[in-house]
Amino acid sequence: MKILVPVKQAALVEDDFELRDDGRDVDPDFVDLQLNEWDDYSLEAALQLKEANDGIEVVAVTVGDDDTEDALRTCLAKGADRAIRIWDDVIADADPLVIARVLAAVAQREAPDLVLAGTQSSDLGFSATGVAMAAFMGWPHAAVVVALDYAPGAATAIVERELEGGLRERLEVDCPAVLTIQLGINTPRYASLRGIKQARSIPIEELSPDELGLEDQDIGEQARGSRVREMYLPDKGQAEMIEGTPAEQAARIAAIVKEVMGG
Amino acid sequence: MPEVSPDMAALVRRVVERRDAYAAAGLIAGNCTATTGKLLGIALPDRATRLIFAGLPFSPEGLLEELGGRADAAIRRRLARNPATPPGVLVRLLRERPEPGLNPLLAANPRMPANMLADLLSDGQEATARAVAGHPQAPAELLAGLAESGGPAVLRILAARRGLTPDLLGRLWLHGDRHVRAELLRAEACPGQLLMAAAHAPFPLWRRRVASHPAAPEGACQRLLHDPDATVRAAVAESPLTPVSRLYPLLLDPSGRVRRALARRRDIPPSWLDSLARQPGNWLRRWVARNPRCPRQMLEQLAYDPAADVRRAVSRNPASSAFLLARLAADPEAWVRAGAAGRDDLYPSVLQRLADDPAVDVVSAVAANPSTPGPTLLALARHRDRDVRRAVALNPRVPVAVLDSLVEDPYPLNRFVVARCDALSATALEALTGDPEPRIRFLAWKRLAELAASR
Repeated sequence: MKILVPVKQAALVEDDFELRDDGRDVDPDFVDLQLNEWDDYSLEAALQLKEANDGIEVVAVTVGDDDTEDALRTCLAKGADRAIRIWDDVIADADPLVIARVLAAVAQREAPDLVLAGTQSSDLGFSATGVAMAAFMGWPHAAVVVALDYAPGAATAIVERELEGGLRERLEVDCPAVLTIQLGINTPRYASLRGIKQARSIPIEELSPDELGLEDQDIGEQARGSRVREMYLPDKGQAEMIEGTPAEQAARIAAIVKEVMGG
Repeated sequence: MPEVSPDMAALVRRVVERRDAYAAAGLIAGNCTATTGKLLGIALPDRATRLIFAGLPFSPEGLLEELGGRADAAIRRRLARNPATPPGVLVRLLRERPEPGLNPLLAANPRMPANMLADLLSDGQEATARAVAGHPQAPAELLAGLAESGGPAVLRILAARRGLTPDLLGRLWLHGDRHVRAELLRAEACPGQLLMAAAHAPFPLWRRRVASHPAAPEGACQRLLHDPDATVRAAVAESPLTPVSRLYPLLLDPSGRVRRALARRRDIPPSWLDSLARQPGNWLRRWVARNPRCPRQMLEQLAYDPAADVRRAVSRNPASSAFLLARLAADPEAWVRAGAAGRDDLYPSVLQRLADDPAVDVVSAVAANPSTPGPTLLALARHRDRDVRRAVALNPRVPVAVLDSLVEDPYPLNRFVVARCDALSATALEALTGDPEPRIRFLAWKRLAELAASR
């Protein structure tokens, strides 16, 4: 049995940052990269299944340039069996639909029994990649999964999804399926130093979209469903701490309302 | 494993080979003066790394001085904010007359020399005025000027300063609002006349400040003992200046808060504690049980209290006997057992038994206990829970061999704690030089360089 775990090297933006010259992203000099927090949990879910059952292979996959290799090394250090990285300059600044299409092509090649993705990425937060991947593959999916009961080889998995208002939904999903995993489903492990050292010598399979049978029309500009026009910091609002007696506070509020309304 | 004896030249050679920015910065921080230029080149290879070091509070001065010469606005901002930036670099940034947004950051930096603050203040920005008002070395004449001309935010910051002079206090009292004046009532320099007047003020906050003031006039305290506001009476009960004999009326105070404040006093007579222990409220009994003046017999009764928090308080009371602690170490509540497990006067056999407790809180307390024997600590250093392992690292009597065994802990925070331990061997420091976490590598190289420099 095989579990595919799509992961992302997410950007952590520092407090004091500048934007790229084209104004469509943060200047990479001001960004720290690390494995997306949600992917820590999806990988852990896969590793726990592997540890509880014989014969499960966990394959981590990412779409990204050389810098994203660290995310895969982290997965290998924690216990993933293999890692695959897909890249081509055409995919730079790709939207979640294109990423999902690439990941779906990887899944087609790897033929996993289960795909465990993070619910969202901590930097862009579209919450779209896993779900779109399922759509491209024609597989069932469940999003925001907070509990998973799955026996390897079973035709279905029982999952619990987190809903608004503290509600949970228990769902039976036909397998193979794509599940997007929510934070808190487990306690992700830290890689041992030995694991980190060993992971450095494990080869990472590098593939191009071409090798996955993807053409420019699948991943190029025209395949994108959205394009970033601009990234900017909105103007800061104003705040004032109003002190004094209730009458003084009321008078100050009235003055502010008059000032704002121009009356 | 033979002990490593670090040699500076060899350390430098290895860092040059590795091209590790954090290792190079560590050597610079560890007083490595040889080939500093080469090390700086390794530590600051690109803009992203320069930006990181410009903002890190542990960056070595030599590196920050090098960064001070860079014509990069983002680096200047980070240097201006960084509390480790040397005064010379801050002055240089100011003299270069950079973008106005830098001035408030420079003025807020505690290492900005006091004689430069007037220059900064002349920019007329409110943000700079606020920063100068809070600067720990700001000269008295600047502060006096700010007290006359500053807005409400500036006055509030000035009022919160420690060591206010009578002159500044007087100016702030004159210009400040009710909240500024409340701050001033905390000041050591606050005159007794003002405190006496404030004891009659209609604002409970002012009266509370008076009640807590170490120089509160006798008459004010007497009056506040009967204050209608419970927080004021609690402040009187807490004040070490109030003779305990005067607090008797508070023993039956309608407010639990006041009685709790009374129960915390270390000079309270045992008969009062007895009275408080009989009153309803777990919270109150908890403070009675924590009080070192609590008589032994009362502690023994409280050790059977139905509330776990009360039993926990008994376990932490220094007056509790080892015999009583042994009983609490078998309590059904893990939180109570954890209280006992933290006691260094526990019977060794009880401590040993608690080391195998299923609750992590209990085992963590054993791991942090200075009386826990070395072999037990060695076993706990391999515990499945990372907090237990960290407690071992933080144990003040942890044997070096146990500490050394933690350098391969999978949890980065634990390795960081270990890397900071003075007792760590050079061999263990050597093992940390290749750590995946940059801050840990920095520390390991720094400490090895310090060892080499001291040879």
